Amino acid sequence: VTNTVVTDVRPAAAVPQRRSDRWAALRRRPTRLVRACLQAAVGLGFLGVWEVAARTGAIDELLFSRPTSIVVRVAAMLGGEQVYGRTIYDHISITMQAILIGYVIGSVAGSLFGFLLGRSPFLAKVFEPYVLIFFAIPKIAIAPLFIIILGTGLQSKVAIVVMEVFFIMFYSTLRGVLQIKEDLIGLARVMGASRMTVLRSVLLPASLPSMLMGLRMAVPFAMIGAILGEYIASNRGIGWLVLYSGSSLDSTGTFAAIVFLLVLTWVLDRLVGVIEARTAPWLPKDEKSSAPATAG
Amino acid sequence: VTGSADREPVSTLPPPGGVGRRVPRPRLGGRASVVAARIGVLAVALAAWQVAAGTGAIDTRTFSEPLLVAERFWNTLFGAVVFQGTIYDHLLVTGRAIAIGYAIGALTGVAAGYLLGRSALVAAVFEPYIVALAAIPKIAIVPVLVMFFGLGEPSEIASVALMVFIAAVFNTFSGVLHVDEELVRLARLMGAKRLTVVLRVIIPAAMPSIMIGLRTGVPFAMIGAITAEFVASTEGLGWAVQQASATFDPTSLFAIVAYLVLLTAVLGQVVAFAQRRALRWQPRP
Repeated sequence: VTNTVVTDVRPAAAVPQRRSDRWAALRRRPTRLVRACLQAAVGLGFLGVWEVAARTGAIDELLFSRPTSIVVRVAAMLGGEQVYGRTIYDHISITMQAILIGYVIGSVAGSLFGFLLGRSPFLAKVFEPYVLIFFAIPKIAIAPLFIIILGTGLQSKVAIVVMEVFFIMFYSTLRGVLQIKEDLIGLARVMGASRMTVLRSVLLPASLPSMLMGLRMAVPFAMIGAILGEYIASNRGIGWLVLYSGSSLDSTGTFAAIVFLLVLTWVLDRLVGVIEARTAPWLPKDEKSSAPATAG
Repeated sequence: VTGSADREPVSTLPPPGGVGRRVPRPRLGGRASVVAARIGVLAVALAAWQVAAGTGAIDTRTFSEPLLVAERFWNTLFGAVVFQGTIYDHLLVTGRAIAIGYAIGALTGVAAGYLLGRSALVAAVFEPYIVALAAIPKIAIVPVLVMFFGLGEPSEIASVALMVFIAAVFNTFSGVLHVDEELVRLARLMGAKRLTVVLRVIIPAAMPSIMIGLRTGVPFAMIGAITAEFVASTEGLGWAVQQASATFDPTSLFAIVAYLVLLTAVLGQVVAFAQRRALRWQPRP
């Protein structure tokens, strides 16, 4: 391989430890500590500028609030203060109910359907155009339909979460099943494995990585479903709290509610991460941490 | 909210080449039976819906019926008024917000992703923030935008721009980060100027993941526009869907969703065309 010649044009012995050179090396490959410090500095710097700008009146505090007020509000909420009629814990449990029920139903149904279409070429061909059309539909646009059918309570929120999670799980499972080498299945069959054994010992383990990735990706989507359901028609829950405090021009309350939402998403993501590590301990660490991509 | 951008760009697009691509030959008698079965599935579903509605097995006040939906679609196509405007008025509002917001979000997102990804130090510092930004449910921020920009079009554009920005910045960032440094060094060694390296090496090499970002941006733009219209607007397709739900009008709801699907399909085709043009040098899969 000839192009290795140009990887380092300077002879190693002639590298002088001048100040500018060390700075250049640092710029190329910062150490962990330096990196962590800079990361913290960027975050704190942002919050600091926000705080100072709000206090000096450079930005309107009514609209932008400021970090310290948000922290105070979050603390008060954690202490059990009533926010718009309920404690934050009530709001969280209302939203979490919809998320958990919907997540379980959606992921089970999605992976079953993915398996079915992945293993049956005929069904896959038949359903292909419908699957692609459903993929193209902005699913949040159908959310109001569930409100008509199921009313404004828990059920419609669960249905919206199911819809969001179902499609993520379906695509991930399908992708996983289609990646399985047909040779493996043929070999197992030749060696006398029954259909059940093939399913349990070949198909499931081979498609598990993509299914687990789907489970991980579905977390923010479940969150989106629940929030959306509360935006459209609700008077409780953490998504409603964000919207309601926003429309009452209570910016501190909005940001505080968003903080809770983010922490909740993070906790759920970690939880699924732990399940992932338990279920498939043989997976390389890289593959396991392939976390959510982008979620609406 | 963990993970790193140090990997292949991930999209939520369907697998390339469709879902049935591995199929060597259908077992039940070839293409004709597949087409027949496809039409059959649709026909049976619509017939079941129509019959169930006709016999009263399902409540038409909540589920409507196919013939009514088709009629409503047909009428609105020729300018019948739905919720204080023709369907074209609503399409114009939503389409304009998406077009403006997409342009703003895509330009700023690609630029920011490029700047953040090109320096190892800056990339390392900003990586966790970009990954977190990509993973959070962004519709949570829409009420904040409404607070800043007020009701109607400005907050809708801002909401679209934000969604597209995040999709673009995330994928551009990881694309630029993964450009083979060897290529850059080789070009420099052969005497290429900085600008030439950027235009002829870095951007083309990062183009596949930039295009993934721009393509995932389309459904996100749609989500941004619809959410903003749900939350704070008095016009547009998303608002009309919301109105249909609030006034218990499932017939209009289905008809308007059909227009939304058409709009998404058209936008998706436009971006797919741009992607083919931008990636002409790549071998076809």
